[in-house]
Amino acid sequence: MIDPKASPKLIFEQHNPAPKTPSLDLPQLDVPEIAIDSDLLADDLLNLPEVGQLDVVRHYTALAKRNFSVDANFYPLGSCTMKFNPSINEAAASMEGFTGVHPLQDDDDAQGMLKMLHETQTWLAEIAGLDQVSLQPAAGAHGEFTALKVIRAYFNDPKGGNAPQRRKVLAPDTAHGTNPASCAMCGAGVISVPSTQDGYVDMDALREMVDGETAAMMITNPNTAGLFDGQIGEIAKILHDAGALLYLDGANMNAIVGVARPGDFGVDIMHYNTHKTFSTPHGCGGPGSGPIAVKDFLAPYLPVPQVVQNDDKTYSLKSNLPKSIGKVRSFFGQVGVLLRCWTYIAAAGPDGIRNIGETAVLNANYLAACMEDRFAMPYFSKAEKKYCAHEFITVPKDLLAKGVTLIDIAKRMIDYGIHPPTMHWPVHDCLMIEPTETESKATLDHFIKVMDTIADGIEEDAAFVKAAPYHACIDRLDEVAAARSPVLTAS
Amino acid sequence: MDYVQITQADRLEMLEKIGAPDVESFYANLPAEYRLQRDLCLPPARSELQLQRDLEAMAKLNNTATSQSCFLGGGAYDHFIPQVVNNMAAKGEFVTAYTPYQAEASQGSLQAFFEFQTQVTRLTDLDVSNASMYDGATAVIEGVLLALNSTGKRRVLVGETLHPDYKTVIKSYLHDLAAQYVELPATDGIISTDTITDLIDNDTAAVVIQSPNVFGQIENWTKQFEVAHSENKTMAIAVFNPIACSFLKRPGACGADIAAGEGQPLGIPFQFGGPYLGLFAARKKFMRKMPGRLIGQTADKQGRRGFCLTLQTREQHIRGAKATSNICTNQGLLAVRATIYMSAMGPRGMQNVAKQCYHKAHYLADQIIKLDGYSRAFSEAPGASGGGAFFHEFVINCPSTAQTMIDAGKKRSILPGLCCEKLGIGTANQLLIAVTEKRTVEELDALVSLLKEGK
Repeated sequence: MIDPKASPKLIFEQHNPAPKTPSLDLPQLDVPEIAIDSDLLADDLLNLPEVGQLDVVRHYTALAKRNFSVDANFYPLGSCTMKFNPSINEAAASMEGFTGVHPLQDDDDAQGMLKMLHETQTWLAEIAGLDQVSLQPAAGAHGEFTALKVIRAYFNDPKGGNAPQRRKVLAPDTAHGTNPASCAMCGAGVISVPSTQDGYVDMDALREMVDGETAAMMITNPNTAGLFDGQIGEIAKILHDAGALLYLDGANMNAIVGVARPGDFGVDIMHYNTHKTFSTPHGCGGPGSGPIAVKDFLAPYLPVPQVVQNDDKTYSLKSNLPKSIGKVRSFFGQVGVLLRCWTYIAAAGPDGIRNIGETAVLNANYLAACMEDRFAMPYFSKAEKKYCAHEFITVPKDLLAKGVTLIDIAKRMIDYGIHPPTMHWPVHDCLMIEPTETESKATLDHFIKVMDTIADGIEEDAAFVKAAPYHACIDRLDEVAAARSPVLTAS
Repeated sequence: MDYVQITQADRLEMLEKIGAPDVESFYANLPAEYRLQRDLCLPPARSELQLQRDLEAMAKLNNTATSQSCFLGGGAYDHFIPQVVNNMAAKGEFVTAYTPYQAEASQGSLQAFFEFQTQVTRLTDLDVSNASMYDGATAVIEGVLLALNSTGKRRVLVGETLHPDYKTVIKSYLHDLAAQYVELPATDGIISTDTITDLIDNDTAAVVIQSPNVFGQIENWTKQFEVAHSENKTMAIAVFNPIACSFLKRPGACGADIAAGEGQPLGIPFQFGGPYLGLFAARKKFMRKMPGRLIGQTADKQGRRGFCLTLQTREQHIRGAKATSNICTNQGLLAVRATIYMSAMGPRGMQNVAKQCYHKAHYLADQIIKLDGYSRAFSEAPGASGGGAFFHEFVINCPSTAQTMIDAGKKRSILPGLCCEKLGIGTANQLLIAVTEKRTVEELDALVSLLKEGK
């Protein structure tokens, strides 16, 4: 009996030495062979499978079909901004004129690349309302880390902040897990700032916590609960009055691009996630890119190299910045990702960028308004005109009371071809839903119907929902067993 | 073009449903003084046709390495990429999926990563691999951080022959931590075991050695790591090249506890330095201290094999400040590329690539040192285990500056190599030359002619 839902064989189980592989098809060696000391050689051939090319194609095509993706599915994963990835962006990133530039070629061989990077950093500075940008960090968390290094270098500099004792970093209790983890990697202590019932920063607590040892506060605004914190100007003032800096985690920039600029509301330094705000694709988990933007007084500490435009309009890489923190990765950065970012901003223009922000917020509020009757929302209320930003959270208490768990609801969504939202974060038992601006009203309406249908199903037969998914490529997986006795490689 | 599909009619209907008069209402919490009262200063929107033209024009300003005879290495190498890698990795289902948090909706990427992890453990002869780091340099520093955390010791001995970017990254990361960076000076292009013996002590958390090293020289990991292990708990970190692993001794077989390396040679184009792929593997006892995503095998209710993210309590989204690393987003799509590359090439294919690199590089070096005024920067001592042998990259002393050769190459579409002074690994007269399987004997001879005439 062959199980129609059986998982594809592993590539290691398909070993079938074919007479021809593209590799063995390499042109014959056209130079004499030179002896090599056998002590240097591996004892054996790599223990990897040999598979004919058609079977390689079938294998990865089969695996691709077993993925949900933005190209195939609505993917309202809160905080991840799973927007459409325009085809032109992929085409740009695969042009030989860009892919073929070696990272250490002379500047005059890479003028197109440097122009693109210089424009990207100029545009990102303008969108942030800040002065200088480093494109080097590889992802959002890497941007946080880099920014914290910059802040530290500034305070350590006798001619800069001149306050080496400032090592404490504050972050709201709803912060992304990367915030405290990035602090730890910089040797900075992180202190959690409580939130109020309404989901905003507790200002009294903040005032108590800021002192002469505070280096900065990391804040996400709109915050991780999907709310604009209107106290942001006051928060900036408290920090600045105490000699500390305000850092913005740019994870939620999609809500405010073109509408408000972090530099204008008191932010000194921030990171972007181009794979969220600027449509660069998430690629099964990466690559991202986490440029940081800073006010001028922090610019001397940015990583090297930096792209500069010369008086004759040519571009160069500049590395001789004595106060720089150095490098946080090899070479320049995630250039292929930044090229997609360039393409996206170039396509949108100023009106488009603003429309992106406004529509992301409109779509989220529309979903929230249509769902709140059945999916309880702690912070959103149509009646009280309490709105969300580009995402919102629901804690579906009434449905959970019927005996299902949040995971059951999520897995049931898979049956309807929708990728489940972020779960249990920033509060327990919540779903965090972010539709993004690129979804049509028809898709949003379909989603609302699906969520209604799932709610109906739970009310009628909770036990049935508990065994979801039924229509995925595989039934529910035992994740507890995977962690109990980890198998991380094929035998 | 902003790819928004909401029409004006939709907008009005949606606002009515929400009960809000306009989109402005949603921003009511943001005081007016913080709102942008003008248009962003960006170039006007472009049509896709215009974008295609602008991209073409910008691309033409680049004089790509891949359109020339490329002898540039220094951490990024010009290997053959089978077309199947480009086609399969371009599938929207891989490109536009996210981190596989929902296992049942992500079996494709999870299985690909599981296969990737397996391939990396076999490349390195180690037990466990994660699902990727940002690049080679960040993979190495994560290994160093693991060693510091795991041993509780504070010194890190780093071979001078490590890639200069990697050294800078280690220094930048360690700068604010209670850790000490100590460089192991090179002798004739490699790190001698005596040097390690002199500098190691019981506070040494790790010894980090790259092989083939930044000069292309093959280090004697086996003996170096023996010295590293002479101190209790001190860890050996091998910085490796995955192509070399199909031919030369592998990190695990030489005693490495951690292997970290740059995966770019596995089917990833230059792209001016990124996105690349950090490879990270370790012995099993460090499994729960690993940074990054780990994919584990499990089963569904019917007993069918499936895969999911596992040991997530190591990670930042669960553990916050106590996580093993802050990494969240990784290089998933590049890991998929590398997996497809290794599957398409197979072990014999990868070994063929490595052998051709080796023989062509040696042929070229032999021809160059026959020229007047040229010599190898490091002595060759055949037979002496590891001494002087190089893999596919080597340093040449030139009779004039490396930049002279590089400039001379421009007229002939030859990129002769990297200036060692500019790279920070040698003098202005030294050229670092890398040779891959893509270079033909005609191209090798053309470089020899260039050097002969160019001096």
